[in-house]
Amino acid sequence: MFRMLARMPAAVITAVLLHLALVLAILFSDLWQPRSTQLSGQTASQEASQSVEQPNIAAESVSSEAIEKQAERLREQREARKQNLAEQERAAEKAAATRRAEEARARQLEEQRRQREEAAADEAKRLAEIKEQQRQVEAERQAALQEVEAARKEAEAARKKSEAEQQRAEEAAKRREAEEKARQKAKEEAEAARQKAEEKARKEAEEQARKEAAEKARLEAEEKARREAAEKAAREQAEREARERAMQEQLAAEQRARVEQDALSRWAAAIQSKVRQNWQRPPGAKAGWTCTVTVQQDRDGRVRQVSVGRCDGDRLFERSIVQAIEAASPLPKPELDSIFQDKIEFTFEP
Amino acid sequence: MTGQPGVTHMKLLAFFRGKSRISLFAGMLATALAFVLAGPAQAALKIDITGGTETGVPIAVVPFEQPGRVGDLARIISDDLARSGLFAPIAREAMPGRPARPEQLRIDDWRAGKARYLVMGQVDDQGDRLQARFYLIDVSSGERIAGSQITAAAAAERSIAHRISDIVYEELTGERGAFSTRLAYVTERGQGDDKTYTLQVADSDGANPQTVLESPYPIMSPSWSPDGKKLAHVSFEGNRSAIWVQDLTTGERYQLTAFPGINGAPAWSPRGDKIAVTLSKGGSPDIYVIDLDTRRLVQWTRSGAIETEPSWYPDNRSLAFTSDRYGQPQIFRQDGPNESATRLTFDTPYAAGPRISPDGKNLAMLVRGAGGFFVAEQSLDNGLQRLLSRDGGEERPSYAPNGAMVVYATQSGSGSVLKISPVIGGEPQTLRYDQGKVRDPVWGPFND
Repeated sequence: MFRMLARMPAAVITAVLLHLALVLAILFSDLWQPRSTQLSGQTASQEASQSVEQPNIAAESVSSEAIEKQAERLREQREARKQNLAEQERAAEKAAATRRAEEARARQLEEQRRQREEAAADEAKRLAEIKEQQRQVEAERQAALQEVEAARKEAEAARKKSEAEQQRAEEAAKRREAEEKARQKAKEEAEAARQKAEEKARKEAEEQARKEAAEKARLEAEEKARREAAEKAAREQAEREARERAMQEQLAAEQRARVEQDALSRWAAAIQSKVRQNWQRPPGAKAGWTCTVTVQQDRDGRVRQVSVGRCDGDRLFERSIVQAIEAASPLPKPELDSIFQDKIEFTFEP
Repeated sequence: MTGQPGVTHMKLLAFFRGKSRISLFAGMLATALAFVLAGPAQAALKIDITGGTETGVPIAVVPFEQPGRVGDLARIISDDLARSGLFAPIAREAMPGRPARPEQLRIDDWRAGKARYLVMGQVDDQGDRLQARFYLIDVSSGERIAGSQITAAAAAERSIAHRISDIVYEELTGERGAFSTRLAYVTERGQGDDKTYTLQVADSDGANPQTVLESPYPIMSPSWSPDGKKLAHVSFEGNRSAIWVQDLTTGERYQLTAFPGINGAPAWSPRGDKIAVTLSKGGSPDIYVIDLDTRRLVQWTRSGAIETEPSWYPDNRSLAFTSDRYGQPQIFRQDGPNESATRLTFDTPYAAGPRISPDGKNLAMLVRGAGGFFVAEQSLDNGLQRLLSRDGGEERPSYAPNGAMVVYATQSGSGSVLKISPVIGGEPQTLRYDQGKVRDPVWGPFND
């Protein structure tokens, strides 16, 4: 119903306006028809009867069709009343003319005075009636307004109720949804928590395993390192001792060698000097000529044999070399017998 | 060892060079200059000898035991060896004895002396013949290196000495001696119009000069035939230059060319089949080659400059000659009549009188230097040039057939003399000539 109202607000408004217009029309028509007390009374009664009926109408006017029907009926009544009023008017005019004609002069003044009094009394009465009528119309209007208001309120209330219900329903739905969501979420969270917990447990287990493995490895490595260090230390110790022994031996050998080397150097220098002094190199020797000779000597330095090896040079050059060695014989003797060598290789270059 | 191929020598040289570097390293520990490498792995002590004293090989040529009528052969031998520049004969006063035969030699006496070699011998007079016996001793080892017997006509006593010199030289150096060869040269005597020119042939030491031609006209530029039997030369008989060829045995001579203008500088080819000459019949002096069989003349050079003094390469095909085509005289090589010439000399502003050495490896020539004209030798391998003479008034040189010496004329006072320089360097020896001027010496071929 609310939706209908919402869908057809124009109809409702029209209905309300029509009511208002009707009321106003009634009011104004009564105002513009002040002379007919009877009619007024009729109208008032009609109106009263109508206004008595109105709550029913109002009560039914929750539907626009009802309102329209009522409006139609009111319209018809209004039309009927209008006809009545017109007939009454015509009748009143006839009666007044008759009365005026009948009573005319005779009693005109008195009558008129009395009539006036009566009229005044009637007028007062009629005014009172009009007032009453007005009051009633007002009351009707008020009642109608109240009815409309009540209807509106009722509709409003219905709407509100509907809305409230809908809202409730929606809220309920939302709540359900929320609850469902919450449940789902809780479920998911629970699942996530479970998984997380499992993952954590797994990781922890793995970590534990890893730590254990690492620890094991570390221990093994340490053990190995310890073992190797020990082996290495032992080995190094052995090597060091060997090295020291070797070094001492080497030092001794080097000492010997140095002494011998020095002696050898001096011996070689002495031989070199004597041979060079005896080398009378012939003219024409060219740069790059070189001759190698191997000399065999005895313990006294006497040259026993001179054999020319490779010789790049002419015959006179080669001969001069052999002669230099022979002329240098006996060769100088070494300081130490230990370094004596009976074979000497000479390389001659110009 | 000297006879091994060069490649092998180079390899072995590198091998020993490598060793000496090791020795050098070891030697740094040792006394300076003593390069030692010794140890358990080394079987021999290694010692490097560098330097030594460059000196002529001290040789003692002991006076021969010989008849009084025979000249002093030992002196001739000693002079020959000294002229080579390789030997330094020791004075007779320094000899500890006069051995003539091995049994007379007390080698220890000689070892104490300077001589490294000793030549001793004796000559037997056999009437018109002389018989010589000689020995070459290595004083250091006491070994007899050579010894032989030589017989010659009594008149050829000097030739006995030269042959002994050749044997000693070849035995000790490995190279053929060129003492038993001859020189040809021109002499000029007299003054003004009263001049006498001779063409002479003498022993390699200038002894035994023989006049083969005497003329009032100038004689120039003798050239030996390779068999040593003929001499080509230039003569100005009738005041016209002509090239003549003279047989030394018979004295017969014939005119080879007598073209208008210059007929000069004959050069017998190594095989004796051609003579290169300078002719100016075409205008400027150019090189021509005459085929001695056909007498056909082939022109080799055609420049407007002076081309002269041809000298054959040992290949019998190429010539070196002097040309001033670039202004100053320089030496060029040309490989045939239609070939272009290649310049050989660049180091001196003046280079002339080329002679290609018998082995084709060197070029002897006359160069102008500070103080005059000098004999120089240039290596045709590396272009290096060395001066071989010292006086500054030298003329065109000529190689001994073994290439070890050059002979040339040089001014001496108002006259001139012949000098011989060893190509290895050393003091030039003078061949005395006291009768005027001597010029254009050319060394003859080996005698065989």
